[in-house]
Amino acid sequence: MILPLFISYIIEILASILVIILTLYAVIGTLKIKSQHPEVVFYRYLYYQSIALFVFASGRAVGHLVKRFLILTDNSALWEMLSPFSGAINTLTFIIFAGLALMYPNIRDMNRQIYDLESATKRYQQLYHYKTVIFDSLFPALVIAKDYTVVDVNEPFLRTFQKPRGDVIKKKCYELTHHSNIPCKETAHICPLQDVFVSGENAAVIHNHTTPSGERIYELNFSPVINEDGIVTSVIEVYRDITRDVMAEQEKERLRKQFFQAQKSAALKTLVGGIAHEFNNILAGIQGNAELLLLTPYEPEKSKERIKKILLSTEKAAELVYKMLRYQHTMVLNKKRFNLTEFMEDIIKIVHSSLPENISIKYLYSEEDLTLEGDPSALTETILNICQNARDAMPDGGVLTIITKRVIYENKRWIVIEIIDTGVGIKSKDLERIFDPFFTTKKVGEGTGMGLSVVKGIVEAHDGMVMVESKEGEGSKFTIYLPALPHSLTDTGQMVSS
Amino acid sequence: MRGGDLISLLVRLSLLQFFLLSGTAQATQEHGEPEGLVTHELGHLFFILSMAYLYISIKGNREKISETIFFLSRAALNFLIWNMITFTTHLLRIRVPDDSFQGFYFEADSLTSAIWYAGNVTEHFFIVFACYYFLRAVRSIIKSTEQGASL
Repeated sequence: MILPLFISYIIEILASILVIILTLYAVIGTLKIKSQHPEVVFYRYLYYQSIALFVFASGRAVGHLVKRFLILTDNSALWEMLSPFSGAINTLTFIIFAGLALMYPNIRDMNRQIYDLESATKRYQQLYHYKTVIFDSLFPALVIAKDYTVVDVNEPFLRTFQKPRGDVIKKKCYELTHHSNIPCKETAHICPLQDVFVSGENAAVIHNHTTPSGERIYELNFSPVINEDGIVTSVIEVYRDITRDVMAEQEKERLRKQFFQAQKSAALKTLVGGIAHEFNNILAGIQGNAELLLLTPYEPEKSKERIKKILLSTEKAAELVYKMLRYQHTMVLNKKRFNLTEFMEDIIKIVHSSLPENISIKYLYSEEDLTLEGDPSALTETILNICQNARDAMPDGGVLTIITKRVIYENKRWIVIEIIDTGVGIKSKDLERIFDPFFTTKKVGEGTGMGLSVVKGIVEAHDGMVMVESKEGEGSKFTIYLPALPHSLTDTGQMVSS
Repeated sequence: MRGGDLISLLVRLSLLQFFLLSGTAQATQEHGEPEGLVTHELGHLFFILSMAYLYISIKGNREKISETIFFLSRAALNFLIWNMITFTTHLLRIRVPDDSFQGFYFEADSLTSAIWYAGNVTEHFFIVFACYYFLRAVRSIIKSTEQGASL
């Protein structure tokens, strides 16, 4: 059987070249790892084995190639002379390789160590991947070391500031964001970075930064990265662009001021109109009676009557001035501590006596401590005013309910007085204006329009607030919030009816 | 038995032989022509035993095998097969007549010659794969240590 030897020669040459390349790479690789971890004996063995393998492979390959070359060029005699050396090197090196394999440290321990290393690397790779995904999904962010060097940066930051990673990493944060050569702490820029490193607590600050898309306002949040020894190793600085929020807030504020101005103008018109109207009526009365006194002959009885009317008008004017002063809070409150429950019992009696028979009164009070600090006479006026309005809102009768209790509203403790009627209610368009001075829905001569504005003034003078809810045809509910004293007992007392 | 222990045993046995069975060995010894082949073949035998020992040590481990050690076991297996083939072809070469080589052709007139030819062609594949797996083992350990350090 004739078989082609050249196939064998081609395979031999290709294999020889491949083996040289592979073993050379192995030598380079093991040299690297041996240098990095000189303490690991196994890596040293791998390195020596790689050298042995490389020398063996090279010797063998060169031997094969030289052999083929010499035989083909009719120099077989020379090859006969060289071949023992090639064979000897060959034998020696693979014995060294095999010997080193026998000298491996305990291969099972080695396997366990390498397996643990590989598993840990895989786990860390996964964690690193998660970290990268999370970090890149945040707002622009930097990780800054204690010496202000940027050690990590996320993609949103690079996109926002249009910088390549290489221009950010290892730069000082003040160079990067403020183009300064000295830390912000030594300049006019407010930067809590150093404080975060010292305190280990989060901090935030608002800064203006120039980006390629223009001047932006950022809320910078600084979060410390604390190691197992409790030391802050770095700080994550997150940039939240609040430019749009700030602009929106500014626009809202502008509109609010505009609206407030318009409302103030309307209120002022009502106020001026109201004062003019009321005083005009009073002055007309005074003027009319005074003229009659002058023009008609003196009759003691009639003159006395007219003088009485003039005095009554001046009293009305004085009362109006008094109410206006109340509204302006210019009157000094005579504050003292008192128990609202006891105080209300007296008020209920007064209200009850002023109500027609078709209106019943219901008083519910909490058993909690309802002690407050206020002006009893001013508060009496307030409650009577609202009750009077409630009475007027129920011409066909109804129920007037008064509730006193403690509540927590907007994280503050309050003592609340609720006055609820089942009357005609207030039109929704009037609800916004009912506390305006001289605004009234009553017929001419029935009200001055100062009652509820005085109520508001008194309550606000007590650092409280008054709110109204109403539905046309169903009734209204006025809620007065007065600050509770700090020594409060409980917030959930039983309600008692009286 | 660990590799180190085996070497230590071999060294002790050699020393024992040196003192007890020295005979004419202490004089300058003659080395005849077949000695090279015998030495080489013994070297192959040593290599075969060494790779078999390494392969069995790894495969006999019931624990999970790391990537590095897995590639090392593959390298050992390929080295082992390559050595068995070369060991055989070296022995068979003695029985292959020189006139079987006719330029770029080989005349396989016996089973021995045919086996020698097959072994001579296939051995290269195993050494290439052996070196490839050895390199993979090295690269795997580099990858683990480098990634571990960079994370």
